Amino acid sequence: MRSVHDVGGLHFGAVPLADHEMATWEKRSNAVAAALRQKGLATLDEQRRHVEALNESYHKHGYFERHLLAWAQIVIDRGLVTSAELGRMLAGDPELRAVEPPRVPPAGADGQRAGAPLPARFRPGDRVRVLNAEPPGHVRTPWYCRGHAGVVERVCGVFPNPEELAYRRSGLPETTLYRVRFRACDLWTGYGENPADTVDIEIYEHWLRPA
Amino acid sequence: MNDPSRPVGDYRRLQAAIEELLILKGVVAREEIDAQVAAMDARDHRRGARMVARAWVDPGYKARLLANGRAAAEELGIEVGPLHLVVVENTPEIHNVIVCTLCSCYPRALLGMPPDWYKSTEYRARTVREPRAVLAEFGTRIPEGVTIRVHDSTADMRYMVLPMRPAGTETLSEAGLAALVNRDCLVGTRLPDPRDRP
Repeated sequence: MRSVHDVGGLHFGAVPLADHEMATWEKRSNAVAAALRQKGLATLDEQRRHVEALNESYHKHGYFERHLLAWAQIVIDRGLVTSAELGRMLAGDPELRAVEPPRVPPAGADGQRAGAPLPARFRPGDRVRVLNAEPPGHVRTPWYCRGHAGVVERVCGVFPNPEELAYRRSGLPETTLYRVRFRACDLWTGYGENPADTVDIEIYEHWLRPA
Repeated sequence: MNDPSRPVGDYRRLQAAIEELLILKGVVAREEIDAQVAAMDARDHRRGARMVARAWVDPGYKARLLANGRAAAEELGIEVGPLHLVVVENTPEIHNVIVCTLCSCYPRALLGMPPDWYKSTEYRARTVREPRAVLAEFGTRIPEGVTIRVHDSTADMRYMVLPMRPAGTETLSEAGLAALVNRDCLVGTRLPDPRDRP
């Protein structure tokens, strides 16, 4: 299933060029998210997973509205607040002073062993093909490059796997991330611009096979 | 995407409720949230523009910028935290443009929040498929003979474009050069224009 957020290559109209000044609630929503992430209480990948879970209503909400709805889920999912407390706060319950402390699980509670990352399988210049897979869950490999072949442009380093981070696991051991360069005319049938144009995409190693 | 007819009161209330509850429960302090707001307000494209202007006048700095964006920012005293910054160079043969088709990845730790158009479905969907058509909507014409490199920012790297120094800027100071570099130049949707001199 192609997720609602994965829009690369879809046909849409003109880019809306007007900008808006961020509202105070948008800034504070963004700041709360940043603070929780810096404390290690949640990850950006959880935010993305919950935004993607909006499904059909994704396009009905504005950008910061989607993020806020995601963080409302995250703070409950992480045990930082309860749904009931949030309901009472929204209802202006005068007895809310007595709240339970947050139920934050101990770090590393996912039981995964870190271990050393595997050595990089590919080198710059290698031809690779992206798996033509459609897994459920949160993935960062755009739909439009799946099944296509390209060339490794660089090895970016090793990073925790976002497909695990999104579900509150450690994402360890870290996995190698590559930048893969695709020819635009390979990605798009009937590409109408310069055939030498390219698209570079960051892809984690478990999505790549030799081509 | 933002429907101006839809009341935002519910979102405002939900945001306030989450923030108040997290403070009440001791998860975050109000001062920490205020500090995050202030830090984001303090970041904007001028930090990237300083790096570009330095690269235009100092070939050694340019080489270091292209090799390690974060180190090059820190060299100018620009704090960017654990940012993995890849700087891509425009040349007479190559034009670079940055997009995130999956969400809105952008070097916020360096440049602040991305503009609305960068987060729009239209920009995200079309830039990888018809970059010249998208750039034309910004008034930017890239000749057919130039290769366009689109960078889809899908994972842990963040990108900034190093534009070409415009002709006729030989007499400008480094600060004058930096003033030519607007936010969109650093994404690759516009080119620095000497007529933009303040």
